[in-house]
Amino acid sequence: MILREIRLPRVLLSALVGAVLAMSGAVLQGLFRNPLADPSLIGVSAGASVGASAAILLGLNWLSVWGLGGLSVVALGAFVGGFLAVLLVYQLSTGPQGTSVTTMLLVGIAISGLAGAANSLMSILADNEMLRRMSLWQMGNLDLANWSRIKICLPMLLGFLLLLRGQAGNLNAFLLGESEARHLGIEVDVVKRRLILLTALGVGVCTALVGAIAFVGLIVPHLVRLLSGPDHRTLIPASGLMGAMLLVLADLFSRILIAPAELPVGVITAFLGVPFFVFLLRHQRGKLL
Amino acid sequence: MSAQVSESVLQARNITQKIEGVELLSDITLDIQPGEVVALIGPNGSGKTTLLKTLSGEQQPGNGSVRFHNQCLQDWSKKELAQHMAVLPQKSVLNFPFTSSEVVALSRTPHDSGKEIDAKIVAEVLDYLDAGYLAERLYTNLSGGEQQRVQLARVLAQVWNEVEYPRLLILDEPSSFFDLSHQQMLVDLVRGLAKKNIAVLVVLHDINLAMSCADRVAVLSCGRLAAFGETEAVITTEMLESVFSVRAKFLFDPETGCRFLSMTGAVASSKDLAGLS
Repeated sequence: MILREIRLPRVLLSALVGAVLAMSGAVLQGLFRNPLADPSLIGVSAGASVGASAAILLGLNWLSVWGLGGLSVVALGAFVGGFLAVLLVYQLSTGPQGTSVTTMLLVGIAISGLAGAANSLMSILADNEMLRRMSLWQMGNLDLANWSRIKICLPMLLGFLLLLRGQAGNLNAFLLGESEARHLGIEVDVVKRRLILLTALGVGVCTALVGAIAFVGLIVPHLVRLLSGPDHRTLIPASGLMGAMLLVLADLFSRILIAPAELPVGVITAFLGVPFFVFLLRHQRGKLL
Repeated sequence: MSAQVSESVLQARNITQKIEGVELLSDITLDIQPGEVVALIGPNGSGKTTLLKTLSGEQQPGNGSVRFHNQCLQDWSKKELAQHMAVLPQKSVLNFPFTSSEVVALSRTPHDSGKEIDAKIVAEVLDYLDAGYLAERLYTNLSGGEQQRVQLARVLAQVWNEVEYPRLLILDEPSSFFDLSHQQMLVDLVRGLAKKNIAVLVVLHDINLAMSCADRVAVLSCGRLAAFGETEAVITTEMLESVFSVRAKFLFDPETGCRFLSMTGAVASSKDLAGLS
């Protein structure tokens, strides 16, 4: 009973979210031709946390909307906030010449800064209980896992995989540069728009479900690249697998380290992922960049 | 397929290109025939790269038209165009640790020729460019000249196999990092491509290099086509003086029968003269 209703959905949700975050990271790093890109760069995380904070502040979390598949209003707020932020970033960096990824990177940082300020403002307005909820949300946690969330996440992951399948070759060509990709016969602007919307959707849903989980999207593609090279045909699926494993593992630690209390899983991914990442960087220098 | 017998690979008519009111190219008309090598020369900022971008479909011409195999560039599907035309930009930045042969293999993206044929083409082209020994090395660890050879191999592999129409290779300063022996290799390569029915449009700064590999030469000066025709007829001391502001002398090597240029000095501009008096 405990196993089926509490543990299993939680492990499944961790795996699904880890996979989507890691694959989104791999896609964005390819799209931006920058190994330092991660889903937070296009404003998803920042927008989502504003949305979530706003929902908490307005006291909307007491309303439950079970009609929407068990999602709380906070989750919906996060999703809407994240998606709006990406749309804004995308619109601002698209001109008559097409979308400039460099501008998008900068606009992403600007919008994230703005969202940070909005968050600070809201945390001043919030009372103690709200404040605690906001900061817990921002650290990410998986204890709300249930089957209805899996039902949202699973089809999304499958759709994500299906839509990404044909894009690995395009992303490989993108690494050469946009004009080079264009001369290789790729409809650059179409591919770019599709991938940005796809990752925004994926990361948006994940963030809405479990809060902001840092580093998975940044680190996992790197680990995979160090092991098997930058070819997206292996990078994307392998990142998915490794992201799933990392988050399940991190969640396991978050439950047992200070049991019976729980650590937020975002804290674990950072404490677990960063030293390992730095270790790899030190030992494989020259191969990464 | 059109029934015309001698059909240009590329035909540009009255191209004009403006950015924010500044005219970068004005009224340029030129054509490239199958299997022909055309060198594009001109001083810095004369519009060579803008012209290449327009001719390769990366930028739409403000005025005028570009036709590839008698069909407007915009009407070609991107994929089909990429099977017939490959473009080497002046500078490519690749920060991800692909091996050289993986970089070259990316050129096969627009083709559906299958893994085996692709692998064969990649190996062939790398050998052809004296880069076979680089195949398994990481691109990011190569020297500038080696990277340039791998990129050249990449665009070459893109048009290597026979397709329905004659192919076109556009190269923007392919030899800027090459040592002497590889510059010579480029000359031989470009001449050899003509025999494979691949036309080449190449931007070069070295006039002697241009003379040894081009059938025809196009000279750009301040966005205008100052001259376009047979290499011997176009490259004259008068042209070099008026377009490049250099004094030059032709030397003749009786052993090989080659003409080559020796620069003897810069032409003082009227501004400098005014300052002296």
